[in-house]
Amino acid sequence: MERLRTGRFWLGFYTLAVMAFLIYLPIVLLITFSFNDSTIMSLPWSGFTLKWYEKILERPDLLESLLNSLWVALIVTAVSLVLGVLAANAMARYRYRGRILFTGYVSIPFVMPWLILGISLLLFFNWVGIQLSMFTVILSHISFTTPLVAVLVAARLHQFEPDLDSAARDLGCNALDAFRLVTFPIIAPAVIAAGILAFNWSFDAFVVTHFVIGSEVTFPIWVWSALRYPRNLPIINAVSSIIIVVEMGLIFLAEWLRRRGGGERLL
Amino acid sequence: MSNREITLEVRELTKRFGSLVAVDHVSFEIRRGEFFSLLGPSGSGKTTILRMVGGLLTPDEGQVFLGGKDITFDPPEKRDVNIVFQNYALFPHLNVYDNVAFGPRRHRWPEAKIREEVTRLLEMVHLTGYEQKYPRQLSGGEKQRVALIRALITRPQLLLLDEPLGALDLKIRQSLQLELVDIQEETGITFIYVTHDQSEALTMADRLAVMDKGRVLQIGDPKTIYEQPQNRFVAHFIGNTNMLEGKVAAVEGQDVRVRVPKLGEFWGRPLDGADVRPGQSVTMSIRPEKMRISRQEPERPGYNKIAGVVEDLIYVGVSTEFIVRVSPVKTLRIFAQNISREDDLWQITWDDPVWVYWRPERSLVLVE
Repeated sequence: MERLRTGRFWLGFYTLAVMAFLIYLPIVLLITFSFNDSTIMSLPWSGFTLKWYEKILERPDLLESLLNSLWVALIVTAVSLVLGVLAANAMARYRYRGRILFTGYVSIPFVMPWLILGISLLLFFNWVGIQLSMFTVILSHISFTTPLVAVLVAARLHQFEPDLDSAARDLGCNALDAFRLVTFPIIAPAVIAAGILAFNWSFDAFVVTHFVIGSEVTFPIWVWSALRYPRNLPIINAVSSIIIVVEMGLIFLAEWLRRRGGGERLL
Repeated sequence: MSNREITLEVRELTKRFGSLVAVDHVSFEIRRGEFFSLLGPSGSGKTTILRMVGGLLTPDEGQVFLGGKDITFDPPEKRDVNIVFQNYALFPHLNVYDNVAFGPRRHRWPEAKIREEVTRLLEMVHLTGYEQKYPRQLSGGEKQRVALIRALITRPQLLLLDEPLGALDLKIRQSLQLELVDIQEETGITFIYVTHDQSEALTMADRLAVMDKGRVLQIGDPKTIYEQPQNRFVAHFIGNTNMLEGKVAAVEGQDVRVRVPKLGEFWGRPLDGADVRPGQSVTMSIRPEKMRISRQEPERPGYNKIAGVVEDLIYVGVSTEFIVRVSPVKTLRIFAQNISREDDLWQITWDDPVWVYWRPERSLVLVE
């Protein structure tokens, strides 16, 4: 019993240590140095400043890349939610020929290296003859966010009795009403979670985007090119800090929405 | 009874899943207000029939008529038929009130009428005050009652119940059985009750269909099914029975003499209209409560009798169950009611040599 307890203590300590050093510490450093009055990211502390945040507004190239990433991510999220929810229904509910093939497609973004995905998409666009642009970026992102949504929503559907949909039909719903009144409310939390993740994957995508983008610039691409000049570093820190705070806010908002919904507890 | 109107007719209904024939040309009729049961082991096709009647599955062959109208290909929402699902299928995101009000709202009832009916039905199943609870806060028996009133609030012509008590403990199951029968009588709605529990079907149903491997083997009221099973499967599946296998030695009027290897010859009676000939292989089925047991050799002319040794006896209060070994490979089961101490029943104990005897008409001769 005693040994079990010490074992549990060390396991907890280890987990905490890994999380603190590998995940939280870098984030804390990044945010801290975004307020440091120096272009060199190291101690000693040179004084508190907000000037890096002010500089963001003086960089139209940065603002444009942010805006690009934002609208790309929004379109990608919307399209992949629709396609992914439909795919999840097919995966969870029906038996059909080619089911295994479909499951294979759905697992691509989890097993395929981004580099290979990017190269194959580039080859594909060349072969079909589509000019590289923001449009190809959107198509590429949808190709990997749709499976993400499908997997998350299908997992949720699997937990539920298949008879719920039948019960709704039996009590007087047509197929559309049964989805609207029963299936959708039940999978909604998974759909919201999937939407946030899809948005982040798209917003964050560098490798694949790098291959299929035309002359425009998304935020990750801008960061990549800006890193060549050390004086840009504090600005990148500042804008990254903003993004971290916004995304954490989004996640808390989604969690709050879910809990406020009452009924079944999720995840 | 016979001139009552037919609510449901199923004609030559067939469903295949790949090479498996789940339901094989099944036909039956159900009268209005009847409590009808589909009884059979799991995999016998009961639930598949229910789903085809409810519109959740499309038959490969055959037709379904509700109130004389062909509904074979109508979608579930167009059928005046509701289902109580095996695992209740209550909507987890809706509270009890909204679950029960789900059907009426789809049928555009005014909200005042919905409130009145939901309140009345919740009271009927003793769940007043449960309106705001969510399904996950209910016990199994409570969920079952909510599922039941959710399905019958719109007063469908037919209610389909798929093993509705299967997941509950014995005690709750027994009280809900009674409650179900009461509710059925009170509402007058026609019930089809699917179960694999023969005692449940016998006690609750007006009539039942015994199924095996996708076929209906016999349809009748519980008494007929129990007393006059058409074949070995039905005799074996319903209640307990002793089976003696042999060949017909002679036919004399109504009765036949059956030679059972190593045990002797016994008189029995086939079902009316059965074609029994000498030399034919048959099975005699004798219910345990129709046999008697005694320490003395019975002096009753015309009775079948056989000697054996008491291997086991189980005292169950109202009756005693004896297991009597009559040959190295055969034991018989006998139920004797504990009425009085008049006979020597009370003295019989383990390893006693005894006689088992019964009247010829009590042994049913089955051809199939």
